[in-house]
Amino acid sequence: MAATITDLSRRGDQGFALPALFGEVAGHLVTWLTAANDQNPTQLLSVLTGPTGAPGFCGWTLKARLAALSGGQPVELISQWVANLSSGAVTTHAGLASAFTAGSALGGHGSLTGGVGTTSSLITLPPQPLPLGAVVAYSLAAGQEFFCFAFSQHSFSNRQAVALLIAKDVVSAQWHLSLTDMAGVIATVAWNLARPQVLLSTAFRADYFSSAAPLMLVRPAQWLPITPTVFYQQPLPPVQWWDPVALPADLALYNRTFTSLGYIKPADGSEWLQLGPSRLVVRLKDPVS
Amino acid sequence: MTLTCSALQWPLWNWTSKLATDPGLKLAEAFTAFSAEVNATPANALVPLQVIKDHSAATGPTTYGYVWRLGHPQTPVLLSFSNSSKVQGYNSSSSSARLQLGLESAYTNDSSNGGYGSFSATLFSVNAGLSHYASDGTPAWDLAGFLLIQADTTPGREFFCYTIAPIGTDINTQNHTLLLFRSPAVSGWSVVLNRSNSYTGMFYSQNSYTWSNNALVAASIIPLPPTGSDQQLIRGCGLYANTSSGVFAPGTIQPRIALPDCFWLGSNQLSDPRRLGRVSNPGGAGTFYQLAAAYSGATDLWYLNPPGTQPRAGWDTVGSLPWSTIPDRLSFCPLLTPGPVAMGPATGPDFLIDWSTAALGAAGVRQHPFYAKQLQGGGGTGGGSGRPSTGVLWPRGTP
Repeated sequence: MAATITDLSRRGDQGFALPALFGEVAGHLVTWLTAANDQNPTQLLSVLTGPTGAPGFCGWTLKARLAALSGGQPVELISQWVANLSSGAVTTHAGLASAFTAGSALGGHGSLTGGVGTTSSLITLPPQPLPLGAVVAYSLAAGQEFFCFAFSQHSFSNRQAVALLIAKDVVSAQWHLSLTDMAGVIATVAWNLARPQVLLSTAFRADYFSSAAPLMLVRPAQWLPITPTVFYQQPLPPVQWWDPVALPADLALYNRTFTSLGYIKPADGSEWLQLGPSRLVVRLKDPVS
Repeated sequence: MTLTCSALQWPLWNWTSKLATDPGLKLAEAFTAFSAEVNATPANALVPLQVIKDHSAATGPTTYGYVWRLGHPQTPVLLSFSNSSKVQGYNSSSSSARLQLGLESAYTNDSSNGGYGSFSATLFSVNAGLSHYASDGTPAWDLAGFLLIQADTTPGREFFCYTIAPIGTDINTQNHTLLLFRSPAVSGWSVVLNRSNSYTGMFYSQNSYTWSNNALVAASIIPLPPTGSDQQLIRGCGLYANTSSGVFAPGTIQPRIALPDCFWLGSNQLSDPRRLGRVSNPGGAGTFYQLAAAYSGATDLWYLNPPGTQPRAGWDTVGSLPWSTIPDRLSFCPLLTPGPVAMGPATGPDFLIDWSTAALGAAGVRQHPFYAKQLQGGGGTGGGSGRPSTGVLWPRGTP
């Protein structure tokens, strides 16, 4: 059930390649998204704004309408990964659609508040002749669907990102949205079904925090929910239960960070490609057994 | 048999007492009964448990402890816990209590060390206080206290866990939890010792040991339990050995050594500093009880008691102890059962099982399983003349 990947890497001597790369990814995304929506008629993924929809900016604002209801209405999640092509500033955000304001912000992408995200990371703009490592990976296996686009402008820790990660939460069978900024900071939004509430995350549930030995490839990849803390919320929240939110089987964690497009061959014969800076890896070959 | 959870409490804890009704020999009684039951399971013929010394072996008036044998087909190990003083230290060097793990072959069974014998060499030795931590190490333990024991003899997943904890208003005290458990992934009994933290900077430790092939080795807990401000407890943790050999060698597939399901680890730093918290399970049936830790820097240990869990005959239920209900702040988040770990190289990258983007120039690119493909397909066999003269690297855009 290995994922399908497409190598979209580009040489660095052809001018500023990022907008064209994003445009190409947008085509792959629409193809996958159409098939994914056909497979999941009770849930609807949509691109609110794509790479060419906001002059001066480049990125995506995505919406996932879930089958889950809240207050009688379908739960809607939104993620934003938008680069300002003048300043290089990248806005990343994931949250509930109720905190989204369509309009002129980010060149027409609109403004998403609440949730989690950053505005402090940067892409490198021209004239630097940076090549782009870029991969689209996806699966349409029922219940294990995902689409991921990761790219790297260089190997430093501030120029790699998972710009798109749309995946089924294998626990709730609902879509959830994730991304990283250019510095490896994760923003994830999902919905807990059993005890209905939004789940936000900025980290994987790591087996080992270091990016040095022991190096471990672990599954399932699960998110660490942000829980209300005594420092930030009054009155104190009641005792809570969080269902886990986990990624499909073709995705895993490998604890080497900022090594986009690293390649790992575990002892079981499977093969994995690292996507982005934050431990995510995708399976290219199934185990031999 | 299923899970049992058995509690006893004493208004004046006297750990040195040799009365059959006092803590030391009640612990021995419970462990002896557990041993008899698991030893009777045919699959445990090679890993029998045995009491070598119990509380009554103490020779001095302030000495106490036990020596348990952890059977193993190749290298049986003795677990010894003993103390020579009722006065407890307030840090690891001022504590006279010691937890030792040593090969049976290295043990001399005599009356030395207060009656608990001696090891010519130990595998592991930690100063493991029990108890009370006033700044000068006094008073001696003479508080109210309880002994709580969870045990399960389900074949393959047997475990025995005891917790000693103070009761009452004194918060300068420390809980002591020892867990012995079996996992189908390893060849013997794994050990987790958890001592809690009453104040930041005070004595806390968590020591874990498991088996790599036939050797008992030090271990850590993975996935990492949540910390501090997460206010979160998780189920699904296991042990990972701090070694690079045996089943934990780089490049292997390592099975999980899962802790018993009823134990939840994490952090709830602002709950009851006496570590006697209790909450109803917000996600289903049962009740959570706090066994250890209360302040930051320490891993919390909670126990989820399924409804209807019975105590051993003659003991009380866990609910009989004076827990205080915690109404807020905590989050419980079970994990999906973690799968086996695919170990990477000893360090990285090694260009055998792990290729990083530090691809060592053109030669490294050609050796990189992913990058190498970018050089192929243009008519050549890699690099040079095979490249397209314009546009992007090759191949591209082909699903």
